[in-house]
Amino acid sequence: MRPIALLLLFLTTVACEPLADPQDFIREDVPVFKRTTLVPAPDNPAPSKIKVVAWNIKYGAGRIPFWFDCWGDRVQMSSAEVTANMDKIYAAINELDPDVLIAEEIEVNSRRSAYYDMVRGVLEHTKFNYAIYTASWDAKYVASEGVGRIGLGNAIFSKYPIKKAERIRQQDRRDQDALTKMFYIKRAIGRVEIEVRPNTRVAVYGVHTEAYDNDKTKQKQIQQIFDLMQAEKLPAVVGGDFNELPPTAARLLGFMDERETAVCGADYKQPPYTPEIMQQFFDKLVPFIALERYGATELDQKRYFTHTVLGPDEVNEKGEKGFWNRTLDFIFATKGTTWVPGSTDVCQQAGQRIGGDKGIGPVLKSDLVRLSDHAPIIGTWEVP
Amino acid sequence: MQRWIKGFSLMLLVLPITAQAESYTYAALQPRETAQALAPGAWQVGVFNPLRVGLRWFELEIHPLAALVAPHADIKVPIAGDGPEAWQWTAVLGLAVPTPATRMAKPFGFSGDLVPSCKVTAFDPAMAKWCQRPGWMAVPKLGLIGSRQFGHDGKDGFSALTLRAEVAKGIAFSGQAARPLDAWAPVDLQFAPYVGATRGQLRVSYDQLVTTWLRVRGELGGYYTSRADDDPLSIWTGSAYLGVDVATGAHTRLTLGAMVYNLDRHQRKVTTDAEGFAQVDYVRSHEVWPTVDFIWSY
Repeated sequence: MRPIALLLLFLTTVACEPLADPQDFIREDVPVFKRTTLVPAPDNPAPSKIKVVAWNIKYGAGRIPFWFDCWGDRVQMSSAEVTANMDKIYAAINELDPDVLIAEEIEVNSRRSAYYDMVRGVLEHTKFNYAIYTASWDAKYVASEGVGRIGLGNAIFSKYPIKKAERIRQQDRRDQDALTKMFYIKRAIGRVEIEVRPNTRVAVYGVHTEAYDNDKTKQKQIQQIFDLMQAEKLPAVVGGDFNELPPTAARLLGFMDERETAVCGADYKQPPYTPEIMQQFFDKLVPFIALERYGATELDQKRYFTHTVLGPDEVNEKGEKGFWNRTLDFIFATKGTTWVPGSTDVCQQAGQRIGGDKGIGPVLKSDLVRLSDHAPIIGTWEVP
Repeated sequence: MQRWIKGFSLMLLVLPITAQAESYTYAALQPRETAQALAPGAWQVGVFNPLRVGLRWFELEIHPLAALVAPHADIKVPIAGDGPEAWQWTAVLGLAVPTPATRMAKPFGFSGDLVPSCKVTAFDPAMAKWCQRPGWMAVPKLGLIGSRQFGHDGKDGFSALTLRAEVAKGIAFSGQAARPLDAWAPVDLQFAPYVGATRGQLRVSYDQLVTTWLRVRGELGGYYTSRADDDPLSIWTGSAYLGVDVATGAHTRLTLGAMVYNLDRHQRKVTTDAEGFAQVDYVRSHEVWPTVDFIWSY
């Protein structure tokens, strides 16, 4: 292994572009992207109401079965496929019409998504004016299943001006060999300060924690997120794909979208969940959906599931069609702020009214279960 | 597969024996990769360079180890030119069947690394529609090499200018059409036809005799790789090489050099505009690859 690592190090030094971005920072500013033509943002007098959506968009893959999910073998999409999928995502975003969007698994320059710049795409096809992108996987070539160039990360979009933008490094996995680690995902938290009204800033955090580690990396990443929120001085909201269940989850293992037969190896096998790590978020922050609302049984909680590997057009080994089967995505706000009653929900499917039967709506039209392996989550955040 | 490997290995052993024996003996280090085919009975092989064998009316060229998993052979047939002051022209004809290499995992092939392994399809053939692995493929190659000698030293030492034009195309008989690998330049150029693309190349090199034991070699190259209409990457790649060949004995040489590639890998460059907002440009990439080999010539 050492000679290979030395060779790669040598090539890194002689080539003009690093083989993979080592992301050697702890906390640093990142540039802000601006829409080509600004759209007037709505006035937002005190108390400001900010509609927040967090959505893992699975790099515009929709329900194409990619190899690491082990229900298909796709490694690459055509430009036409990505464009068609992204058009549906733009339509869904416009339907939800958030003031702030926290997007995970958004790609800006990946071979598998036909080198499509999704940050620019969302900016130009929705009503957002500003965005930041925080890379978490930036490699010139990933020699695994022909993945090739990868440019994946998180983004935060805002209708209101982003006054400060930064990324905060998270701990890497330590259960991988040096070569794998060099080309693997390196997680970072995005943080922006948004001026929602004159002289009033709020902080928004976008997160996506590790999914496949066996060394408790995810738990450390989640703890770092919690600590940052506790230390935050501005009114703040954090949203994203935590890859963790809520502490009262009725089912902890044996999900219907997991393949029972060993077909693909263990690299992308889900390790056991540790939902107790999420309890502190519900205790010390203001969740967009409280634990009481999730309910106690799997049947109750089903309404708030946010993730399924299998889509409704696929079946598992028992012949069951895929549908949302666990909750992994959350939004939390700092104490002293609130969620507008009837505004928070998991956007699972067309025909659903946002906030439930007595919610503020609207009734969804987009076929959200076919747009990504995660559902968008939504809430209107009220800041005094 | 084992029968094929045995038969192929036997052929490699027999080839030099059946060729007419004629020693490879020169006072000065000879240039490489020119239009000159090896004399019958002569052969040359490097750690990385291919095995070249001079036969009665052509030269055979293969990479012995690579050929076990990607059967291939090139032949160089002299077609025109006589005497040291004339241009000498040689046709290159080749054929490769790379499919076994795309089906096998490392260390014998590159399934699961450069191309998909399609494990789900292997488990459930009904899922084959999602598998993007290149199918069975033949890769014919056609080329022309022209060389002109300069600066004869009165014995057998000389410098050489060489032009090389070549086209190779992957012709698929099964499976889905794969896209170019978009990998590191030398890998991508080598394997482009192996995943169904057409690769064309034009190269010009000059191999200068410095002393009887030292040569300096420079080369400029231009490559074309076919791409789908919706592929944003450029079809053009440029290269430059500079290196030396040093004689280490009557029949051995050490080659050292560096190859520089200029190619489109959709490299993203983020800058800020006058207002401080981010701007994205895509720039061509450069890759520098050191080269080293040890070559035996007999």
